[in-house]
Amino acid sequence: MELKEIKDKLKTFICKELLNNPAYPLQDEEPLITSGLMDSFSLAQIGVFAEIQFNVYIPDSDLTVDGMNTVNQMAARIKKDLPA
Amino acid sequence: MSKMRKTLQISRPFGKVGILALLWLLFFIGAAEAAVHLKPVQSQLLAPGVGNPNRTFEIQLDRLNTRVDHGEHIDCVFIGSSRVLVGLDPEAVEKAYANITGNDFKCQNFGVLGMGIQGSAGTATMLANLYHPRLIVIGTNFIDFGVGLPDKAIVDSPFVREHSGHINFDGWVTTWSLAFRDYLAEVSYLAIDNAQDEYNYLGYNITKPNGFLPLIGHKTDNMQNWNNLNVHYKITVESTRPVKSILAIKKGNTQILFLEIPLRTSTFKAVPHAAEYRHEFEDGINFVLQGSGSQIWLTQDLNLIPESGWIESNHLNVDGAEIFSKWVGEQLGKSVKDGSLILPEWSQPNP
Amino acid sequence: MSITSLVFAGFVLVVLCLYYLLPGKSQKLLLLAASAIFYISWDWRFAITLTLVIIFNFYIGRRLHKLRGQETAQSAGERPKKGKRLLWLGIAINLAALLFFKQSGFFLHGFQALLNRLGFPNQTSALAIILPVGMSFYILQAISYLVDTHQNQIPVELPFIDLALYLAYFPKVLSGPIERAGSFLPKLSERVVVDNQQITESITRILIGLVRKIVIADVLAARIPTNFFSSPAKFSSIELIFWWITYIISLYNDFAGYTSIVRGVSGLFGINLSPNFDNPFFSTSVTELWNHWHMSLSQWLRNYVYLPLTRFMLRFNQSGRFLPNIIVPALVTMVLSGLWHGESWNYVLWGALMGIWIAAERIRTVYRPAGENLANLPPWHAKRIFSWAGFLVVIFLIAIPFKFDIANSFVFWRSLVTNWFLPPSLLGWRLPLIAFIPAFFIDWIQFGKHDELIFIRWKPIVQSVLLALCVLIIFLALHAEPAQQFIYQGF
Repeated sequence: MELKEIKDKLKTFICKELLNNPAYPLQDEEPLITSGLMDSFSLAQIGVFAEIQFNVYIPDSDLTVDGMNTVNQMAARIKKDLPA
Repeated sequence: MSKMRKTLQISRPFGKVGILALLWLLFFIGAAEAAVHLKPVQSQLLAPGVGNPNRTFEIQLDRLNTRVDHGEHIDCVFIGSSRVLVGLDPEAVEKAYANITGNDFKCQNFGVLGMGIQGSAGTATMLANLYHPRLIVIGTNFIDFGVGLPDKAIVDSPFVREHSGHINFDGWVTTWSLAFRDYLAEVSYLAIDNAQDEYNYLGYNITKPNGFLPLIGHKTDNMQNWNNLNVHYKITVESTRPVKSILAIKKGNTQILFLEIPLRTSTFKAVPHAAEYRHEFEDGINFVLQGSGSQIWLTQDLNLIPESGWIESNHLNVDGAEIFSKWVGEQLGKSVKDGSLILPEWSQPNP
Repeated sequence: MSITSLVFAGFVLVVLCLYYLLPGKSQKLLLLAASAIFYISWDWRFAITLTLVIIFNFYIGRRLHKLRGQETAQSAGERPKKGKRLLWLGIAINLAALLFFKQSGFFLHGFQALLNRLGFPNQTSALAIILPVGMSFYILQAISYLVDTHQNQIPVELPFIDLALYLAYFPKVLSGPIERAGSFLPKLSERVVVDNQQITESITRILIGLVRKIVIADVLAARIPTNFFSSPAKFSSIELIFWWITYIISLYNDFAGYTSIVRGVSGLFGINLSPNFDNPFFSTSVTELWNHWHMSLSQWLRNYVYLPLTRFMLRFNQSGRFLPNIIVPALVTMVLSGLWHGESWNYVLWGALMGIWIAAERIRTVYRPAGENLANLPPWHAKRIFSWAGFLVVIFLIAIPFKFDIANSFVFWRSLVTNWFLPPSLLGWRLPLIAFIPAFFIDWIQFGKHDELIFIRWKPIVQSVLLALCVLIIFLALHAEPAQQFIYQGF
């Protein structure tokens, strides 16, 4: 799966489920948690979304604000462990 | 050194802020000391403290200090509890003494609320070391020997320990810094959280410059409910130990005299076994004093004080204090004159 | 050995001198020996418990590491399968040990009541089991180690000395910070360099800690009326507010002061510990508070309870709006936090209230209007100020059971409403109000620049004045404790 496809799926999920605004123009480098757009608890949902959508398990210890604050960071993390 | 450099890698300049801070610290301390020595500033502050848990102790120390600072030679200090505080008027003692001997004999009252014999022992040692009075009179009776009296805190305070031979930093700072002593008094005042304690804290200032607190009034009934006091008055070897430490003061330049402060006759009905305690007190003190060269003047059976001289069961009012003090002054005069009480020469107090 | 005592200062100095002289490998041994001496100085019996915990977790961790190594065929992105049972066994035994010491008092009270009913006299002192000092903290760290090993966050087999030091390291063994195994352990293998900056920051932390502990916390704690927590009904509403605020400020500065001191001490050894507090009273929600108050515990609960539990529930229903997905993890996490803090029902109530409020905040966030984001508003905006004020009121009220037992918690809440017309006694407020000044000053300055060590960025002359004042007020505060109540005999 290409990185762009991962980002698109992430953005759709985040805007609809976490920001409650499917039309929100979410940018790849936009800080999601530090800006207050979503709280750090939403990372659990991101983690489960990654498991179900991409079959990638991100350990709890990697679901941090530092490592998963932007769409770019999330997508890169998922891509890293994507099954071949 | 090369091994130390592997982990510790400090380089110059290092410590500039620290050195500057030290200079500032000395400046602040110096400025504070200078400020509190100014009369307008000192007049606004409470009487300095010494970190003692008992405010009357601090007031009495301030009273004594003030007289000594004004150049007065203090010959005699009366030490004891509230019974001494209200029961011994130095002016009356001095007058009676002068009438007998024709000489001056400056006295100071150092009675402290709630101070038992243990507190008196520590206080006497401290005062002897600091002020070298010619005579220390321990005004006491069996009540002061009660086991359970909480006056150990007086003795354990850093200032008293410093001047009882146990040098300590806090005691040293307290001795040399007026600003710190003022701070101790003010912070203790700020920590008061009820009106009664505030009244007491400030109220002890009515003590006269010679340390005497005159009480006006007379009660026919016994106000004191002795059964409420969780103290045991039976004299033991342990409870007489402070007497020995008081006698050790004689190795310096101070004579020691024990003086029984009488109690109102009705006290012996109010306190269970009071007569028995008094008897033990008399025997106990005499036993310890044997061969020491010091004496105890027993006064209970002399019936010196009329009923009108008591404010309640064990404290004299101003009339009773005058009668008792006059008697003490006369006895002192006679004893010095006939050589039964030998007083050393007066020596300069410590700076 | 109290960390604010001269004995401790002397102990640290001696260990430091030896530490700087020794080469790398020996430094770890020295730290371990120093940690053993420090811990034994509290009670040698506690050291037996700690040693057993270290040995047990070492062997479980080693076995887990071997099992993870055997999973060679799996891809990196799969959930670890092998060793799960062993992991849960390790966690269970660690928790059982903690429960045995901690919660025995919880059940002891009930057991004693039962004995009394059956006619047996009080046996409490004979039955009482003392919780070894620091056990609540090092057990959590032991669990962190096992989980991180299972999740491959600790890639190499850990030497015994490293694990022992991780759990027993003397600056943090008493009350944390609770360090995550995966982030702390690498520090033990890094080359340690202690330079000017490190020393300056460490000493600054120690000084800030001493001011917090001695000048603020100890002075405030001594002034709270002795019957405040046992008889709140006797106080007017104003007094209840004042003394509760005093207690919270005292508690905060006590713990923040302790953390600052131990971080400073550890910094002198070149090992940086995690922060525990980040100006929590400027938070605008209870959720935000727990990201700024006792942060190491919050992180631990988040990583090892909240997140795993939330993910577990989300796997059954992926909706973030499904109410049980929001309420259950928050409630369970905070109730466990309550039980960790203390062994009585009021802590359970406290945890439950916190959990319910956090869940409520989460529900509000999840269901908020699209695009609403308070963080985009300037700090002086009415909505943010209102939010902050609301937070302060809420935290004031729901934190009550942390210190009051359940019955007195309800008495407090009721008295807050009914006792407005009781005359307040304001005499005892003077010293606390003075102590509030440095408390407010430190946090306000730190928060303004979002920098805990802002003081050392100032000009040297200003720093030197501040340093001199710090030393002076610490000395004065040590002598601010007024005399104990003196019973005046006969007067």
